[in-house]
Amino acid sequence: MHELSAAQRILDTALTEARKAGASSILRVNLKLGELSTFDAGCLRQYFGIISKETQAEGASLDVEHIPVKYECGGCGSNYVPNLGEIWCPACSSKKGKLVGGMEFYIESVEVK
Amino acid sequence: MKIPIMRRVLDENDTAAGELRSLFREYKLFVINIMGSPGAGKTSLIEQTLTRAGGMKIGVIEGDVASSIDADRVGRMGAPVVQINTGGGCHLNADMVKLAVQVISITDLDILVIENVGNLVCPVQFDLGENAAVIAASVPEGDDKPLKYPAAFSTASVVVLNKTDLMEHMRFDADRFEERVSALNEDAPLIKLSCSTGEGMDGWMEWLERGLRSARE
Repeated sequence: MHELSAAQRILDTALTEARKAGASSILRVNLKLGELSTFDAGCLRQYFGIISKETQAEGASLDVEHIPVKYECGGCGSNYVPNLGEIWCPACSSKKGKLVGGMEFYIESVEVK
Repeated sequence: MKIPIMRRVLDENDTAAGELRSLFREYKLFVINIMGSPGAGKTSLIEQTLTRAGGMKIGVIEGDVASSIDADRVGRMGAPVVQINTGGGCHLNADMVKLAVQVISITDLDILVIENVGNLVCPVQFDLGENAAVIAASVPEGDDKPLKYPAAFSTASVVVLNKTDLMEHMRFDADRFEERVSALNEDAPLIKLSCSTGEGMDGWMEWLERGLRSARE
């Protein structure tokens, strides 16, 4: 349900930026979404489609690029994408990690004409 | 034409959380945000903390979908408390906490405890301006919870494992749980305790006092 307020924020940002650029319509909004983020891309698209009706963003696509989950190993310092299931460093088998990527959720750019 | 934005979608919550953080710093408050499943023992942990508070003045913000059961429990112990009902919302956000701190008098407090809505998923995404994110887990939930809810455990400042008195009755491998928490978040201390027997509560109180000291520096 928190996707609705997020979709509203995305729409408001896109409309403001389009207005500033003097654009007549919004073609696409590019998002970056970490795979560990609690927001759902399908749900965002659905809400965005509904609330963008009769605005300059009607028909615009919401392009979501997923950012993989990444841990930094406390043993050898290497970065790795964890397996599903048990998590350890594939380089040194250490089970001491720190999350360094995967929680992102931001608007990268807006494409207008 | 492509317009670069690079702006967090939750920027409004971040701004409100930043305002709260400044306010908390001004009063040298140590603020914790307790998150965990329903029934993990978040309110019990608060009750046990209040019993052992000594000279520390602790205020509580309770978040629940409905009812004032938790605020009543905490209020009976004499602590200043305010209940937020989210009416279906699955997490607290910084705006809700901004309203709550207008009701509760934070100027007299040493520690502010925010008990989030019982949920291991979305609360972790919403900054409340706290100093520390506490993940409360419990033995009956099973030792696999860190793997199933990695975001919660990976972003925690500290992990509390409650109901250790039930360990002998459950198939719970404490070493494996500890290993999994460390694999996700080696910097987060793990404090094992039982709110029923009081075992391990000293470790929790020490962690809290350390936090308060650092907030005052």
